[in-house]
Parts: sequence; structure tokens; C-alpha cells
Amino acid sequence: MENFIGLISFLVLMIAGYLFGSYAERKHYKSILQREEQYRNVVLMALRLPRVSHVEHTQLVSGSVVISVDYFKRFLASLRMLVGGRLNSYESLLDRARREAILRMQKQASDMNASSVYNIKFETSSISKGQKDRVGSIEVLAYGTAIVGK
Amino acid sequence: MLISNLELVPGKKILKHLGLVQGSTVRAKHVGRDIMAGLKNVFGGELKGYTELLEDSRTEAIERMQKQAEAIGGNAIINVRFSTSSVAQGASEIFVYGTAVVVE
Amino acid sequence: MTDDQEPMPSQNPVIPEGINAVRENPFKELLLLTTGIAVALVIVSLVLWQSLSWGAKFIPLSWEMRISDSIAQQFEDTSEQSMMLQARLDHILQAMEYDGKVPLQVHYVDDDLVNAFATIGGHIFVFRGLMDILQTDIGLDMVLAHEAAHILNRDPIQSLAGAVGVQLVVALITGNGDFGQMNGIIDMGNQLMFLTYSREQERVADAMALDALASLYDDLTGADELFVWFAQDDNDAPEFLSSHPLPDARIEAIRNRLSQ
Repeated sequence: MENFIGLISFLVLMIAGYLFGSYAERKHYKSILQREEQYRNVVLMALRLPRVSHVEHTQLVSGSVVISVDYFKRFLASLRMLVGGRLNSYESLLDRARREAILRMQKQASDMNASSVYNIKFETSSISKGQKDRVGSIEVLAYGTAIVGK
Repeated sequence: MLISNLELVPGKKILKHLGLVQGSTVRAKHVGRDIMAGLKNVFGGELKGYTELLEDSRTEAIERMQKQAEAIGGNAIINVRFSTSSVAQGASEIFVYGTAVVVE
Repeated sequence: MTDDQEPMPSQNPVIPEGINAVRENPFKELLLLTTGIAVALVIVSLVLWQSLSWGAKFIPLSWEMRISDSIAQQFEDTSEQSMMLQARLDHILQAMEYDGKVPLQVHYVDDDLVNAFATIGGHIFVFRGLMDILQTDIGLDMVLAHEAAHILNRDPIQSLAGAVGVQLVVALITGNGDFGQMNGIIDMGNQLMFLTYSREQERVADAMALDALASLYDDLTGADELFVWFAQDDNDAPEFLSSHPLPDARIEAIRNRLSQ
């Protein structure tokens, strides 16, 4: 009986995780694509030295996001970790997190009328690492120097 | 494709800057390697399995970054940086980013 | 940097999707992984089960007794039935030419269940329900001889070792790490009652029992009494028989033997 209840709750969590997780992911990607279009003119450069003349001022901008993976993908990942190999289910998570962090940084830059952000750097860390059965929350921080032209 | 962590390509002129490109991959090692590594942690020494795994991931991340650069018409990536982070116990992400450019 | 700069882009490039996050059907991966891991686990359990059951043969019977003694003490009794059964068992063991270094003990259980089983440490349990059914001496001796044969063949410990191996694998994957079960085999009382044997083990035990009876009785007619009863009334066959060869098959095997 106990096993039966365990199995049912597992299935419910899997289905709910899949449905809500994939819905949230689709919605997030849609919003990412739309905002990437919106901030396309805030140019992102990984170069250290800005090649812009007529600079009015510069300022550090950053964007960060903490994002978690759903139950379904987490289960998939835990199976994959037994076998080894690429964790497809975490790759989209990191892709979303990184792009979201960039977008938040771009928004900050855009709000101060900057036309470009230089020397972009990233930090990624796992918040819930080490806790048993609690993997999959990651933080991504993107930062750089916004250049406001004259 | 030319990949470099310099900010310029010596002897070549950069014709055009294209923008930020990135590549990332998340990999996990299998349980067997975990166990071997556990033993190694007792005796010390290089964790060959892990080195190999991270090397593989790094190659894949670079390939993905190259793909992005190719897709936007670049033929070189400069100022490339790597970052490694462990996403979950036993799984790590390799992230690489740089600036896609067109050189002569 | 000088002013003869290469031109800077006026906007960010449009990078195609699906490079850093490959879109794949997650169900395909789920199916592949679960089946792959399940197959691997089954293989590991089988190998462990086989090797542990094989290795268990080499555990001396006296070691088994230490594990089982604490359980058997609860059944320590000096009832008339127990004494009678013990006398019969000793008689049968003599016929089997058992050296008697480790005493085999038989215990009478006052319960309706039609059951008898042998477990680790050389203990045989016979239930009242079974004794009520068996009308003839030879029928009862056949059951005792069969269970004694299991013990002499070391079947109980092999079965238990195999089960422990499988449990180990299960504990490893479910990750609850409940190895307490291994230390406290006492908790496995239920398991000790329902040790299952392969058909081959049953066949060998039947043959050994008949060999022993052949030296005790002039005529083996009626040795299949219990199986005849189960065959008539197989709805009543307790669960423990489900793993046994079909009663019909065993009756036939015994009759074949009788006709020789």
C-alpha cells in the first residue's frame, strides 16, 4: 500500500512536472525571443577595451536570475547521471538562465540609454548543490560595463 | 576557425565585429567513474576519468560556440573565456564565450 | 587602441536556436534510460543472486545456526507432537546417513495452515493443519524427509543469500541504504518462512526423500499423499506452493519412482 501511494505521487509529480515545466519553458523562450528583439540595439561585446569614441560615461550593469528545473527533467537527469553523458534536460535550463540574465543586464543598460555593453562576464553557480535529491537550482549572473555615448 | 583569447588577431586585420557568441554543455559522468574517483580521493592523484570528461565537454562547448559564430557569418572568435560550474552533484557545465569577428 | 578601428556592429546578431540547447523528445530519452538501467539492474541482480547462492553452499551449517538460533528459541517446545516429529526426523536422518554433527530440529506449530518448511540453521517447522491432513505415517515421513533433504542440500541458505543479494541491489538503487536488514536478519522472519526454491532443488529433494524412505519402508505407496491432497484441492494450496512444481508433476515423478 505504501509503495502504491509512493508510485502514485511519483506519477502525479512526473506528469505535473512535465506539463507545467514544458509550459513554463515555452512561455519563457517566447518572452526571451521577444525581448531579445526589443534590446537588439544594446550591443553586447566580450571585448575588454571599448572601441567607441565620444563616451559620456560608463557604468557597471548586471543581471541575474535563479531558475530551477522541473520534477520530470530532474528525474531524467538523475537517470542520466547513472549512465553518464550529456544532460539535455539541464542544457535548456542553463541556456534560458543565461539569456535571461543577459536580457536583464541589457534592460539596465537600455534604461540609461547605453548603446553597448563591454567586457561581459558570466558567473554560474548552483545554489542547492550538495543537498540530497535537491539539484537543479542555478544562478546565472551576467555583468559588464555599459557605455553611454554622447 | 580561428579561436583566440587575445583581443586582436596578430598580423591580420579585423574587418568586422559581429557580437557575443557562446557555447555550453552539461555533462555527467557515470556511476563507475564516480566510484573510481572516490578511490582516487583516498590515494590522491589525477582523476583521469574526470579530466577526460571535462575535456570532452570543453570540445563540445567550443564546437557549439563555433556553430553560433558560423551561423552569423564570422570566421574567427577572439577574447575567448571559459567557465566551469558544477550544476548538480556529479554534473558540470562547461561554458565558453567570446566575440565573433570577421578577419581578412 | 587607435581610432582606425574596425567597424562596430550596431545591433546584436540573430543566432539560430537549438545550438546550446538541443531540442529532443524527452520521452524518448526517458524510455531509453529507464529500459537500459532496468536491464542493467536485472543483470546485476541475477549475477549477484547466482553468485551469492552458489557461494552460500560454503557457509558451514553451524554458522547458519547462530543466525537462526534467536528465532528458533521462540519455538522451543517439548510438546508431544514435537517429540514425535523429532523422533521420526532422527530416524529419517539415519536413513539418509547424515553425520549428525549439527542437530536438525523439528518444531510443531499449532496453526491451521497446511504448511511445512525448512529454514536456515537446520530447523524444520510443521503446522498442525498439515498433520491433520496426512493420515499415513509414510505421508508425514515423506514431508519430513523432503524438508530434511533441503537442509542437507543447503537450499535454505542459498535461497536466503540470493534474496539478500537482490535486496542489496534494490537498496542501492532506491538509495534508502537500508542495510539494517542485513544486520538484523531477525527482521527477515517473514522471508525465512517463505524461502523459495527452484524446481530443480525441489526435484532433487523429492528424490533424496524417496531414497531415504525406500530404506525405511518396504512399500512406498502413499508417499505422495500430500501432493495428492493439493492436487485435489488446489484452491487451498497455500501461497508457498506457488513456486513449487505442480503437485501433478510431482505425483507423477514419485509414481514413476515407485514403479521402478
